[in-house]
Amino acid sequence: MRKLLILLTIVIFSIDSLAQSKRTITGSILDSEGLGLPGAAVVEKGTKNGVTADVDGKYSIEVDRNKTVILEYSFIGMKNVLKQVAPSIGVVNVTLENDTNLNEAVIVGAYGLVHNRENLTGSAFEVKSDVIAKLPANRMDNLLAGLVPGLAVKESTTGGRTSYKIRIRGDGSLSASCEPLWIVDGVPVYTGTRTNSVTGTSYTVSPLSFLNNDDIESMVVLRDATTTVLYGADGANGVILVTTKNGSKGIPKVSATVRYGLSSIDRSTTKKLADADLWRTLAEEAWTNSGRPLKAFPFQDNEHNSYSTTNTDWYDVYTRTGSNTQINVSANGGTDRLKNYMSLAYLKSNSTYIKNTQEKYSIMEKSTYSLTDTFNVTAGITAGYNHNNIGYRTSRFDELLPIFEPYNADGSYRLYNYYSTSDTEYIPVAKKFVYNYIPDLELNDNYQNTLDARANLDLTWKPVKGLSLSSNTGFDYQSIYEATYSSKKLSYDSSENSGSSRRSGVFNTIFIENLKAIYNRTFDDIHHVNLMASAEWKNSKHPYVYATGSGFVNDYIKEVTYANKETISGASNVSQSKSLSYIAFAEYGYKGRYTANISARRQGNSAFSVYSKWSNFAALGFNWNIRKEPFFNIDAINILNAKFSYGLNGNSRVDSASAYGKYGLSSTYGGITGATQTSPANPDLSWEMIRTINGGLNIGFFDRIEIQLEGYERRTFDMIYSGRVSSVIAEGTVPRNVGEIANIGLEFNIETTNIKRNDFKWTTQWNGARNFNKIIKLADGMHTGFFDYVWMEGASKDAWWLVRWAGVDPTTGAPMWYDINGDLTYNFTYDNRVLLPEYSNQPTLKGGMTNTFTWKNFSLSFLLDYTFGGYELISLLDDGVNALEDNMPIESVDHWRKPGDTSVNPAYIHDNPSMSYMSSTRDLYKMNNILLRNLSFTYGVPQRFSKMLGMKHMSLSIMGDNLYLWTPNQSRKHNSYKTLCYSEGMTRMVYGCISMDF
Amino acid sequence: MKQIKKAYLSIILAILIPGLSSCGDYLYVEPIGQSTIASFFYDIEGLTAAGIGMHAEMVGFHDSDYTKYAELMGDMLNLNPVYAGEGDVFLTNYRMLPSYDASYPYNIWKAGYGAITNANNILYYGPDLRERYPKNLKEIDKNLGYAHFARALIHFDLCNCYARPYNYTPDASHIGIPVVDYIPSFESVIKRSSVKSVYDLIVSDLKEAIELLDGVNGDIYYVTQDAAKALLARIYLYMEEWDKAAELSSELMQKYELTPRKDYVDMFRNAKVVPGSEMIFRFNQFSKTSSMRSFYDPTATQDALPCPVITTYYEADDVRKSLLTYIPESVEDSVHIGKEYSAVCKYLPYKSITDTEKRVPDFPLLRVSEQYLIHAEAVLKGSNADIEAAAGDIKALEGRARGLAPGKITLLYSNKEDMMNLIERERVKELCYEGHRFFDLARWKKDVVRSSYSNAEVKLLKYEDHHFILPIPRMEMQANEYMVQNDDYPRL
Repeated sequence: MRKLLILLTIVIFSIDSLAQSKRTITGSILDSEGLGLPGAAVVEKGTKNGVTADVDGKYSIEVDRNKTVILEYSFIGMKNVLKQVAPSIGVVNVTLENDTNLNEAVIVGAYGLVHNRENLTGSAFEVKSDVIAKLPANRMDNLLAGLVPGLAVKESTTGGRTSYKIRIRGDGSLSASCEPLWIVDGVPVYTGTRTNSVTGTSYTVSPLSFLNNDDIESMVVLRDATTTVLYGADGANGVILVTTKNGSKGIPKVSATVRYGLSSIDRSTTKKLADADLWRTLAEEAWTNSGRPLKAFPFQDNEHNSYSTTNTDWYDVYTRTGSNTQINVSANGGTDRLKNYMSLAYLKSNSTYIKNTQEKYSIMEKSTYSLTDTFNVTAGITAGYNHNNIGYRTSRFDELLPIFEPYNADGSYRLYNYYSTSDTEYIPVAKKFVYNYIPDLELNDNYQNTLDARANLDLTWKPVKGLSLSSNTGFDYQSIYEATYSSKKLSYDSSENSGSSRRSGVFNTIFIENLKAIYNRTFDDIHHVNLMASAEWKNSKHPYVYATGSGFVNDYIKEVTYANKETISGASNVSQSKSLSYIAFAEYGYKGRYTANISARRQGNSAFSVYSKWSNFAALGFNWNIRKEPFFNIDAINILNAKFSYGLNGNSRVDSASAYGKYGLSSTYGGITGATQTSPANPDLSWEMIRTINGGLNIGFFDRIEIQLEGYERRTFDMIYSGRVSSVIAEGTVPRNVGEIANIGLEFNIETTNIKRNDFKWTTQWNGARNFNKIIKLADGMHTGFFDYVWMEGASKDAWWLVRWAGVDPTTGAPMWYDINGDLTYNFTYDNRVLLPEYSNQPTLKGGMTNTFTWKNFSLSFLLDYTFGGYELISLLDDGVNALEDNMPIESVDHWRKPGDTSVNPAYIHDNPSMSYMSSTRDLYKMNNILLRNLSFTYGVPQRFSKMLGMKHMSLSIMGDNLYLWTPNQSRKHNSYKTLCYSEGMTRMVYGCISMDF
Repeated sequence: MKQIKKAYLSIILAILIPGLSSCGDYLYVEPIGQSTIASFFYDIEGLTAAGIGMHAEMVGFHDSDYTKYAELMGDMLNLNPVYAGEGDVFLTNYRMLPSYDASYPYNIWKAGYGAITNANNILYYGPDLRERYPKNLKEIDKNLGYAHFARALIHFDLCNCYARPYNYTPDASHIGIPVVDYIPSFESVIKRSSVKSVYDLIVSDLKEAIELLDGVNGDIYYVTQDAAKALLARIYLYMEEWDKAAELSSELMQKYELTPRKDYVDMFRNAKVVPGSEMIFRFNQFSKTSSMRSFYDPTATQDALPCPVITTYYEADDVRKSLLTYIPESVEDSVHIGKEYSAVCKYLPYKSITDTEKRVPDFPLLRVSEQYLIHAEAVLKGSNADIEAAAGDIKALEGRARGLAPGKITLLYSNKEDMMNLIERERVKELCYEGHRFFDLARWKKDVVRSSYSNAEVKLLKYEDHHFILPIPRMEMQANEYMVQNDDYPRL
């Protein structure tokens, strides 16, 4: 009713104004690229007189004929512009700039709480869609590398699939998961188990690859206690909030993006291995050096194998030029009442590793409906259908001998190689070529069809100013159908393989219901209050089923139903966990100068025993915005604030149902199922508690430079550590809350506008982080369960623990090491391993730098990712021990040959017993590297051309990923960290992209 | 306007109220597939399942390293150099060390105490069920009996491996193994007790089992009163309680008939069809894999085979000799058919058994044949030194094996020592590869003397040598500050 009255008043008022003498001001409202902004608003300041721009960004507003008026131009996401217009002026063209001024921006953090950036007490780092759009990566988990200080992404490729390990501020646990929590529109994403594997499938495809990056509006990384405590124990490793795009008011805008790219393995980053000739020279030398006669050399040409003419580069066999196609169409528009965003996307990616493909169809729909001025409903559905082909094969395929080949001369698969196994005579025999995965890859099936869907319904009611009551209901659903089939044709003899099939289904659901009340208001510009109370129910269920069978009539019938009945078997299982939490947040700010807040969460988790079912987490935060102090009057400094936070959180990602001890129906006797103890009672086991202290300083100069510095200590108490007790009590290790680990670090982020002149602008974002990880306490002081690294009090987690290499004895060519006392020894023994503080396993500095240049319609941006300091252990040389089994690196040539040689590598002997291939300090490589992770060049087509094509806006881009890796000692002639740090080489991608707005 | 507001309020309340009202039990999730120990034993079904599981634990322990150990340490086995595991080679040549984590010292130790833990759980939680299930007393007692038997059996086995035999010192006061007759917590102090204390527990457990299993009708696949008696007879033999051993064994000899000669081989190789009349307790390995079978199977990766010396022990017509040669059956593949292999066939079911679930060895733990041998040794060494009674027992076994009446068997002996030698030879012939040989040598305080047929590098192990018992595994030494290592072994 009131609404109607207001509307009437406006109409009447407008009619009233018409009566006066008027003039018309016209013009265009453009963005920084010179493109019209349809729907941009123009309001005559101090009045209710306003219009919106048309599709081309043109507007026309009537104002008082004789008065100088002030017009305010605004558009969502852009800075408002005020123009004083004298009576004589009739045309005003305005360019609005993107609102990237961090100073004024707010940040939407945990549970939709809005914080003024300048008054932020905690640590939240935001990455916006304009940055994301420049990153062609087709996976969400890979997006943030190099962009967020303190967030490290470690890539690893096994068996043809790439996975990413994400750490925010180091490892906070030895046995619990260290992965962050991902939240998309308030709904947690199932990212697998503790080790990121998906239970129920044989091969894991990361659930984070199922989302469509183009739908992401922003990503916020939460790092300290005040922000993560609100997510309780699930958020102990940091939280990544992903917000998808929303509909906005205005004329419907249809956008389309088409990307096509090619990818290939950057061969300058693959291990440099011998070719066939070099291999033969070396292998023969190793063979004869071991005292065996050359006439018995196992690999001599015979009727089946022509070793002397074969020279296989296994990269040619197992990798290819990959391709990527991405098409994304979205529509965005709405009225005051209803706003919509929808998108449709298709992605087809052929990996550089053969037989690995991903095909993804994504749809998204998000509508916000305002039932009244005070009641909003937002409903969103995202669904992605993924078809992944998994070309699984052995890792280190590159080390297969170059004298082997995947096919026989007649084109059939090579199943056998003929070579001698005698030490004294040449007697060729057929040996199974088990590492030839080509027939497996070509004949077998291994695919997964996944439906990944997310739905949420948010109801928000704002009964009075500042107060909002809301209910957020969300589902995350993943259904994975995995099919693997091993072909009959793979058999060496008929009895061995009759075709075997496995079919499995995994159905992961997360349901979440959150009720919350937020009261956020500022009184008289002095007192600012931001309060939240919330209750949250979460229920995660992970059932799976599978069936297997073998013995098929032929390779066309792969379904288990038709397998040999006696071989059919199957199983199902489910795991479920529930949690219930009460969340509270209170913040008070005084005049924008002093802000203090408290966050708390009380969380119950079904996985824990009665002894520790409920836990309380809380944090305090303070911010002092010095710039707002009356005494502060340095104009050059436009931002200056300091913050501090302290809090306790827990890590729930441990299996602690074992608190009671467990009996499992795990054994059978005489065909009857029996039960035995599977784990002993462990009543004291509880959550790991993490205490985080965070301090920060933000300073900005001249509106051009902003520096953010943060320091933190994250200390895990009661760390769950699997220690041994007497085997009389329990076999193996049992988890106990006995350890303590700390991560102490410094982070910086510097954003500068280096040049801003007319049409040219150069901005830089540079971030870096240093994290010290240290184990403070363990149950028994040291864990000895690893070969090359150790968990030891006072050392970092996984610190190198190696025998020190002492080089080669120049008279005998024997390898030498230092023993525990530092004396030379010729015998390798693990007892001589020592902790190596001088070879840290952690980088000294890690981060990234983005430079963006814009000139007129051109924009160039590149991201460098850098790591300095720290060592990685990479086994490379074996000094001939396996010269006849594996291909060898090219520096094997450089070895001791005769007395007096001062060579870096020992004598080259097949099967030698010196154990020089065992890990030692010889295998440590400095991790220094700079990677040109991303480069993007965009050209905004002038509107007059795009219009001819029927588009409002069009831009063309060329982008590249992983373009160049630099390491200090790189060379074409030998291996270096550059050739070793990616186990199967770095994949380089180059894309072309067309973006169109209609 | 107000009505609309009310509508929103009711929408929110509608969501809120059911949510809040179900808070109390919201966090309860029914565990699936496994349950907490206490809740598991709350029902009689849980106890029954634990009793089944207890049998699975015993078969797991015996059809594995324990039985191999008794043979690899002895003088009747040759390793197959092609397939034998590194641990087996180390053990046979008496090079075992505490640090060999993946091998015998740690495997036997952890498997043994794992089984004992299961027995202790039953014995701790089981008695409480009597009150709740007064109608099921028999079922409860039966399962308690199983647990007592199992706890005794495994303590005996472990004591054989890690400690000198009972008769090593006159009062058995020498160091034994930890006696665990309770559920240890992480704070418990675990120490080794004297062998005497270990045997005290074994004897009391077996007496308890005999009482609890009284009147329980079981088949040979489950622990019965007779099984407890048979094991106790063996224990008394080790303790040199001759009269008690003789008494128990003679009781069982009256009750069980020796398996006739015609069924003898099938008793091992076709166990499901011919379980054997002499069988007091054998494990049911239905549908399970057998590691003893794969250890000896000559058509697969045969790890070990009989030392040829053993064939010289038998007369030509001795049926037991045929268990030492594998003649491939017609179903065997072309690679093997028409050949002959020296192989232990006691765990090698006929390949012609089509039902793979029934093609299992059903490990024989207690046979009455062993009771004849216990009886013979006990009466010989007992207070009466009854040589003729001992001879009668041997003749019974020989006669059965050769298809002759016991009276037709001639034994050459002139004194007690001769008879003891005959008993020793008969124990080899009857019980070979069933996990007795090395422990017999130990309790007879004999050196291990390997014949020229042996392919082991080490042909002699003196009784005094520290390798006569296993070292306490490093894993245990590291985790338990109270653990004492066996003499002459490195601590870790």
